[in-house]
Amino acid sequence: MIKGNLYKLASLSFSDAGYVADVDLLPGSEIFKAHFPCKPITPGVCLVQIAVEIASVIEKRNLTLAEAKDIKFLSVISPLEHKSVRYELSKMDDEGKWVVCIYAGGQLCSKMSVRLCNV
Amino acid sequence: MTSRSVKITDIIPQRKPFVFIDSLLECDESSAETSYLIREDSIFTENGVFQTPGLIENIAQSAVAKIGYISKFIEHDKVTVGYIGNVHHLIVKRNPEVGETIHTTVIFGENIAGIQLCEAVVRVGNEIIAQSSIKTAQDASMPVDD
Repeated sequence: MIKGNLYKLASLSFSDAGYVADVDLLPGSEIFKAHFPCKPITPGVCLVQIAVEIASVIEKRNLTLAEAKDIKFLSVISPLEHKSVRYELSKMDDEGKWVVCIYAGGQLCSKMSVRLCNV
Repeated sequence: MTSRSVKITDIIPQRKPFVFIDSLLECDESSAETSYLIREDSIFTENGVFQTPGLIENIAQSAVAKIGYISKFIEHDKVTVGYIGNVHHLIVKRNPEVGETIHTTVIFGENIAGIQLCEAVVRVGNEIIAQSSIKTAQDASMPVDD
């Protein structure tokens, strides 16, 4: 789990549109020093891991990423420019299919269609 | 010099604890193979199991290692920062456990406007545990200091 290391979950709510979570990045994380030493960039795979961890909180069980139909990274997120990142998560069916959109500064940075299953 | 003897952080821009390959075993113009021992203290190890985002990063770093090796040792140029643009059709049959060594083979496809398409297969021994397509992009404006 990278919660507490890379980020903290600031809020999580549910509406007709699905779940909305606000995540605060922790710029002092060792991950930002390693990726990359010349400029901190949130690793795309950490954006994916955060989505799995938020879905696990929503479902109240530990989930793992079993399949990804598609994961797009449209723009990078630097913790120096954007400390707060918004996740919009929609559970599409009972087979574990989720669609997740990630925004920083109001801009769509990543979109993923994945299947999560029990650990 | 063979690719096996190269220090990995000489050819990829990531640094520990965000390094998820140990060695570049094979490398030519169209493919690469890496190895990585799953460790207990890895960021992506949970309850002894290496999580899927770590596998995706392992695949991406395998592709980037080949690009970095060619840049540094063939073209004598700088290693640059690379990003994952897209992960497509990822299927994980099982996640590897602490103590297992994964071998990742990346086959390079077309490169359009600097976007490199790759097909990757991750194995433990002869068992295929994961496969995916991935697109990576290099950022030439961000060379990595030696």
